[in-house]
Amino acid sequence: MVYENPDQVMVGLEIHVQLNKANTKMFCGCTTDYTDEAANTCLCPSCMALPGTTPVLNEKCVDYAIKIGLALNSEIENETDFFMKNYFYPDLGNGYQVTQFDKPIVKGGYVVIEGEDGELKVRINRAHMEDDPGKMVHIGSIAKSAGSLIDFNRSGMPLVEIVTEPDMRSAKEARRFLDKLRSILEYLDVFDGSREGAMKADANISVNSFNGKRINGTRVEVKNISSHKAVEKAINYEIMRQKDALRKGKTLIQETRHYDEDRNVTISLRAKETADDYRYFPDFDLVPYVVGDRVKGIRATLPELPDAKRDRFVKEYDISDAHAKSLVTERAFADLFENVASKVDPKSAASWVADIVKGELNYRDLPVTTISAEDIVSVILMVSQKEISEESGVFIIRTLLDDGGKPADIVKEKGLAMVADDFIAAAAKEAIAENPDAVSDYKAGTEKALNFIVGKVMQKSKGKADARLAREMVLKELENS
Amino acid sequence: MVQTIKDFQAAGEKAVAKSLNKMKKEDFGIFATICENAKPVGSGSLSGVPIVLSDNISLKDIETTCRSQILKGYIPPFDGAAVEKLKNAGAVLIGKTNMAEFGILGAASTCGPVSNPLDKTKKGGPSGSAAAVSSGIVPAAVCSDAGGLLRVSASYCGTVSFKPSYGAVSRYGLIYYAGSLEQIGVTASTVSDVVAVLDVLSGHDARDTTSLPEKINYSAKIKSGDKPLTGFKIGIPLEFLEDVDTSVLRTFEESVAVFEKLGAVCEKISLKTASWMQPVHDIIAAGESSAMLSRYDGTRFGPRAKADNWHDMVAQTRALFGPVVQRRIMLGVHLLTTGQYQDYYMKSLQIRTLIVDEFDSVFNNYDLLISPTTNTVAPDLNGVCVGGCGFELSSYSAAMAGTDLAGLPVATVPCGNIGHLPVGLQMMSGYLMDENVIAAADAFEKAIDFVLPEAV
Repeated sequence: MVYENPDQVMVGLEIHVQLNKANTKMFCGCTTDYTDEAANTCLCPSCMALPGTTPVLNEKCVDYAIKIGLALNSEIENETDFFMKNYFYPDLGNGYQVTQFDKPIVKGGYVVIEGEDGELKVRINRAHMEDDPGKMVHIGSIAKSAGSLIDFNRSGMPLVEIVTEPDMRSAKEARRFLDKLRSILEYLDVFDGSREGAMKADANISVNSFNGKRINGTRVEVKNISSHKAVEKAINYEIMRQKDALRKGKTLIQETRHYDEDRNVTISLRAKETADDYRYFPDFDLVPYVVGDRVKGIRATLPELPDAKRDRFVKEYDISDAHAKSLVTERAFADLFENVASKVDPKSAASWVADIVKGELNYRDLPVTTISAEDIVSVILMVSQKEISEESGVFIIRTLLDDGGKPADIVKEKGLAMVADDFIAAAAKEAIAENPDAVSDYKAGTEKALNFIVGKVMQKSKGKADARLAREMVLKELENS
Repeated sequence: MVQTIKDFQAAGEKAVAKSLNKMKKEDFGIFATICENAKPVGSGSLSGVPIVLSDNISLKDIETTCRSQILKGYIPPFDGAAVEKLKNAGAVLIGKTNMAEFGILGAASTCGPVSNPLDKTKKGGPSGSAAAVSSGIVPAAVCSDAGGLLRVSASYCGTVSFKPSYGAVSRYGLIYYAGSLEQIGVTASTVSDVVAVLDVLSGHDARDTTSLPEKINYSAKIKSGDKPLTGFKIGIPLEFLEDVDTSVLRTFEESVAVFEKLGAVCEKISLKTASWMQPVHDIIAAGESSAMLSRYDGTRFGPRAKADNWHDMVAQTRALFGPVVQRRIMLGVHLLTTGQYQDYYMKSLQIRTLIVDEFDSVFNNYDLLISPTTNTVAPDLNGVCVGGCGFELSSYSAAMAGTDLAGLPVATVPCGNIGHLPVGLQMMSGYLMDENVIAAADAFEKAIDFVLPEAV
């Protein structure tokens, strides 16, 4: 099946990634972990842009940018340099942002995502390093604010801006790209996506079809969208808005819009014709940076990335591709699976970790670290050795997540040990004797009646019987009766 | 009476009190701030020596304004690298010297012009650093230089000055307006005093990425003997003599003869890129200043205009820049806009490379280039602009522009007097060849035995 892309939608993304695992800011020694700190406490003269301060490049940021470039199949620029991008804004201390211009550290590359009709290669145009300004907090709404406060804790945070080609054809594809990118970045350990403002996207959207005919659409940029879900919604809104405008014969203008998450609409911010001239010019405070041998060293330490891991899981453990895909989205999950799979049958490890553990964790919004491989292994072993039922296994996982403890203790405490075969046989006999109607229904050909009788057996064992075994016993008794 | 570092050290603890006393009485407009409570912090080669800094070098807890209204009341919370080093060496930092606003030649200072301690009706230069020395108040002053802030002052006041190779002294804490052209230097009454202070100031600083990885040894090549400059080849760029007064030229020619007596070979040469030096300096200084002076928006420090919204607040606050500084910023903004950038700024960067290349090839053949430091002796105090240039350029001369653009080490040594006013001789060498300049300056100084005229 080929995706027709009826509206000839083109979406390109610019993603700002905060390298918040770089420990210190891009040009000074202040911490990058200010999440729990009071406003304006993670500062020094440099990131406050006091007179007489000089920037010193944090080489870890360069290494992280290279790591990202290698993971995106890009070329790394050997001699890279910085430019000053000039504009006035209250949160921009220097009055210019330090960024890159014609020699970005990362050039080209691609990311493969699951597109509307199979694999889609989204091309990367470039990725460059830059520093983040401080943060403005408006008292009241952005439009009618009584005053504004500035928190400079964020000022000087290292960023990598990744720019894609307009290769995505729907909001869904854009969202999948972001999910995939986030997964890759987390594998690289350059970024903690859970921190506020860790990843922000600008989306460029155009609808290039009208009345079934190909047209040259108008590119509209929606800026500063903070979550993947919001990106998907904003793009869908924008496609709808552009189609509607075309239908009504309105002229679309090339402009920047803001996405209002509460109202799920995009609002015009400024028209591109009057766009600022940022007066880019080479930053004379920072000498050009020669990357040299760093690339080789970084390539050698690059971790196995999600796609490669997924392929290996299928091959090495003989598990389904669906399970493998689900397991590799987060590096910690993949590691958990491999830990479990080293001690029990990999297939049951996959289904327990991917289907049950992941589901229960997501339901509770808990991190992977909440549960240990060791506990999962003991649950799987108890189930496979028929010491407990599968239902009890799930119950133990839930209990572990909610209350903690050890699986063996939970079995004892809750009396989950599976009941003996002869008890089930006796219960089966009883259930048959007590439910003659169901028995005659079954004998008349109503399959469902069998489930009813098995249910009664399970009731009698208080769930501690193995359901499959109970079914076998009931069938045996029915044959004999 | 001019005094050396040794003289001040010999005076012991009284030296600082005496200097402070003189500072309070002087009325030449030399100082911006007097640090009455200055105390020695560390101890070392400059123990107990009173030293002053230009007002664009951050001194912790002392108002530092670059002599601009826009920094009124700004008190740095940290010491610049130069300050740390001076303090650790035992120097007592007793004040800040006056200077053209942000060190931009032609710009006015908030505390008026500096007059010449040798003659109050004459200019003391765009900074008060040399006047602080020639008036005998301090043995040495530390001052940045782009375009001539330090060198022109030294020439007018008859002191020795040295601006080392770019990167020799950390810029951390220096409030530069044109970072690729500006470098901290020293003025004192003798070459050996300049060297003594430079030895303290220089060395790598991880906080400034343009800082040189290795410390330059300034005293290494000081030579002795009758003909200490034997084997030295000195070039005299004809283009650097073009606008020089005949009386100054005469003194300069006497200096050439002195060098020859010292064993050096002097030859007239021509620099192809000379006519580009000042325009390129102007364009680059304007571009850099438009970015460097952006942070003065009233948001985080300094005075803040009252207005209904942030844009008006910034616009009105920035009106506190003096008119020359405003024009320089506007020129820079204009030159960096799309289109202009390609036609002017980018071309200037390319020509800068040609200038660097030409200096490189010249210094393959020559150990030193010399020229008069200034075209005239100190002009009248009421002249048009502080730099004495008559119109607003970011550099005093092609020689000063060229040395800034190539980051060359350059010294000024007094080489004679015309009437009661001294004449300066400028000596420059290749990038990182600072020791050539020091060796030549030292030999020259010893040979001519210059005496500063009596003040009138």
